Amino acid sequence: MKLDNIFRYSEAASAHAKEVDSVGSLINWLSVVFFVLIIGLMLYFMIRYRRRSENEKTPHISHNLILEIAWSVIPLAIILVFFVRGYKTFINVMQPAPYAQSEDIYVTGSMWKWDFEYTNGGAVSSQDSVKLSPLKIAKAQRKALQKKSTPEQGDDQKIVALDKRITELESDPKFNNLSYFSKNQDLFSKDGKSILSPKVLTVPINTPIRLVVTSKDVLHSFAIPAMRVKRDAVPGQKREFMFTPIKEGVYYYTCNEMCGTDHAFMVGWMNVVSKEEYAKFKESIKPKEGGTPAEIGERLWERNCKSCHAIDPKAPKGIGPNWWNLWGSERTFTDGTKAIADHQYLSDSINDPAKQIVPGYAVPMPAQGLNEVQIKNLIEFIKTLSDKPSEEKSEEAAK
Amino acid sequence: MSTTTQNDVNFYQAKKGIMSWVYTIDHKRIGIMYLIASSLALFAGGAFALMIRAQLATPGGMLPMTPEYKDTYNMWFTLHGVIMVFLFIIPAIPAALGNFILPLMVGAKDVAFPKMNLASFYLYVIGAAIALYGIVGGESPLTTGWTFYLPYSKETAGAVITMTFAAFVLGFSSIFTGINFIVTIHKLRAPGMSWYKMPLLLWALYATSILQVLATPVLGITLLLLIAERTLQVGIFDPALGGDPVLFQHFFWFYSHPAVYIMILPGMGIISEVISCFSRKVIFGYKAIANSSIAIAVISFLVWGHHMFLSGQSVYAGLVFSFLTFLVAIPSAIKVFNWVATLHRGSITFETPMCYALSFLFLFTIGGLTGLPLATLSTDIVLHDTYYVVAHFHYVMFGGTVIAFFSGLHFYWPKMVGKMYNETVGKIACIIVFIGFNVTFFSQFFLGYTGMPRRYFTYDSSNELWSQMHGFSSIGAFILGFGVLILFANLIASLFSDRKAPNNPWGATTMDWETQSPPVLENFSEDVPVMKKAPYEYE
Repeated sequence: MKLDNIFRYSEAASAHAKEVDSVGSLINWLSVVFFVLIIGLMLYFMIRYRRRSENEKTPHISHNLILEIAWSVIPLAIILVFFVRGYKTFINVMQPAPYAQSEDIYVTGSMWKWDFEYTNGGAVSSQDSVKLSPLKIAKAQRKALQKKSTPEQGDDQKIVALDKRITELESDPKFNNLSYFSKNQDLFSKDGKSILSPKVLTVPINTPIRLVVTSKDVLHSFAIPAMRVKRDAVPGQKREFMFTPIKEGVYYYTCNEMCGTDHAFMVGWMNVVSKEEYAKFKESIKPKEGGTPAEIGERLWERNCKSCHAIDPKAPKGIGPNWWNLWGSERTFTDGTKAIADHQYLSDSINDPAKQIVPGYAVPMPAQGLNEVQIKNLIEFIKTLSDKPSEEKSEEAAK
Repeated sequence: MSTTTQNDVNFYQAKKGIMSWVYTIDHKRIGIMYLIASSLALFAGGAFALMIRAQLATPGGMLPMTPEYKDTYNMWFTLHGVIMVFLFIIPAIPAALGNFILPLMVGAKDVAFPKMNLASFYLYVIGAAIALYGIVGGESPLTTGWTFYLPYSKETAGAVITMTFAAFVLGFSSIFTGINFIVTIHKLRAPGMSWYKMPLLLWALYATSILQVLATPVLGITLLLLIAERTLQVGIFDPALGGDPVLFQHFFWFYSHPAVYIMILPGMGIISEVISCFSRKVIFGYKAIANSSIAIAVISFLVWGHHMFLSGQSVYAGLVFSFLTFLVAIPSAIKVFNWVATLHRGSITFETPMCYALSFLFLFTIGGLTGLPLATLSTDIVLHDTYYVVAHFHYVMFGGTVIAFFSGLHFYWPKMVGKMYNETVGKIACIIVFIGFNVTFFSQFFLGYTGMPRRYFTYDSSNELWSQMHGFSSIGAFILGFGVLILFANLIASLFSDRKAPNNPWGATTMDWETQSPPVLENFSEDVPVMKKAPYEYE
């Protein structure tokens, strides 16, 4: 380890990393100075003033005001510098300017995977990239080498080495079972694509990336060490942070908040690629246009409605009414009037939520700003949420 | 000096039989029982620590990678934390050493409320028994970590209710001790002992007791609310029921941050006594040390949010907490400067307690300085919830508190049992502990720097640095464990030796050393012992 590398954190690849590392270095080097001073004096006094005879007398030095003021004020001044430098970066990362031109990605933690949703509705999951046991990795590397169109020198040796590793891993069931991320750039081909699965969290270089982090179940914490970012994923809350990757490459992310059995496996890869590559990637994960209206509606629910409206008959009472068996049911409102939940009622409820309120749901829904087509798709989705066989449903819909 | 002689009947001999211990209200016996109980907890917690390190020695670990065994590992670190925090480190210095020494130091016959003192010990035993039931009673393993964060602690099948209830009961034990110490220091000081003539250990125990009395109820309420949340679905912390999990963290750390100072302040008190005694020199900056204990106690209530910089807490709250956290570093730094200044022009000898005290200075300085990047908001983003934090707080908690406990244990051992231990073996144990500790935890700073998260039962096998550092750390842990074994073996062996301890083997100046070793039943032979000279007035 080189001396000037001691106080660098892991590889740095984001715009604010340099500032973070430089504060870190400053603190650490000053700490070294103070440590040497304190412990140096201690050692010197230990030797210089060791007891030489039993009758030694010591001077009565009870205090020294100037010295005491000095060693209170000087450290205070120093740490104020740390404080100021520290919070500036922190606020830029954790409280990004609201209208910054950024690429937004929604990160959702759940036991024990991370899901990433892009603004075009495309999604990838940590599970796609993480289920990589060393054995799988070795096998995939071998396959990639064999398939290469233009073999390079040394490939044969690599294959031999990989064969050896595969045999080793197969003979050790413990490792075989160990699905773990491996910081191995060979996992990715030269154009940045994963050789195992293309569905890796991918972000464009030199673009502010805003990650909006939340959780489906318990606390998690999303961390990308190389980007110098980390934030807890809290169920029911959306927290964000922003960073700008400045170096193409592959970086690992982890879960840093204890979340149960497989906490240690909530890990995966983030791939920083050129803007062109990123555009291609985003296109590749884009959900198929169209689909049935109900499918489009479901995705809309997932994004806009899910936190308050459950669609599972067994779900506990949420903030808003459960949508199961909603279509075609009779609704009674706080003013005593009744209505059948049909197209008109549902679209009214979405456009003007406070108009008719079902007892027990006192909190009015905020306006969602959905357009006519979106509302129609959403209602198509609601129609599918029913115990009744689908023929009946379509009959009712026909009414 | 006093009229006691070696021939007076000491408190061990004054009453005999098992019942004389069960019903005792003698602070010395209660202190001894606390010492035995919390030392057992140290060994239990230490055993879990060694199992953790054995698992992490290699990336593959020693456990099979199946869900049950993953949960087994998660249980190990949880129990290591729960046992070490609630059963060992909080009671070790105040309730074990403090109980024995505090009344002797103030020149009293006992603490202010001796029966409450016994009640405190029994609450401790009951709490420990409940915790033991939680471990071996057949419930699912507890895997929440010692922080019991929701919603996980609500969702998991583990023995959360049993364990939190144990911590709840232990909290009362801690409160009782705190109340007792506050009243004793206020009301039972010997004539002549004004506030600024109190030995610094008393100042430290006083500050600790204030924290125990004010902060522990918050933990009690929080843990009860957690139990209510699990059993009655109240909806305070669980977002699925309309609660806020971040609120739990606020409550939890409102206790648990001051608790860190409940752990370290008494240790600082011991270090003040030991360094002055073995330098045979008046402590430098007495008032600064005394006042800084109180300053730490006050400010420590206002820094809890630094555990939550990256939680759902507001970013601006983080800013305030960062600033206050820096402030609390100052009184701690002042203490270190004062201790080093006390060595200046002293007449220093290196008996075992002093060896530990000097180790403390070394380790606590590292522990304190490595806290700075965690208080700094931007660098905390990188280090939060990594092994860096683990290393930092072990430098403070083990390198600070536990080493100070070892120092105090060796310092007061002759007074407590009336026997001298083998000095050479004691020093050797100290050196082994020092080396083992540094190998274990210094390597973890590098792990944290490079992003190794906490509470992982495995790690990236292709990361060479991680494999090396985890390997080092595991080797160090076993060296450390070995050192601690020698330490205790040496102390226990002294019980069977014939090296009788003189009343004041170290030439200390505080009143506790004027008593016989071990002290007589009501400590002093005079009815009202008088403080004849200020502490640290070495001739």
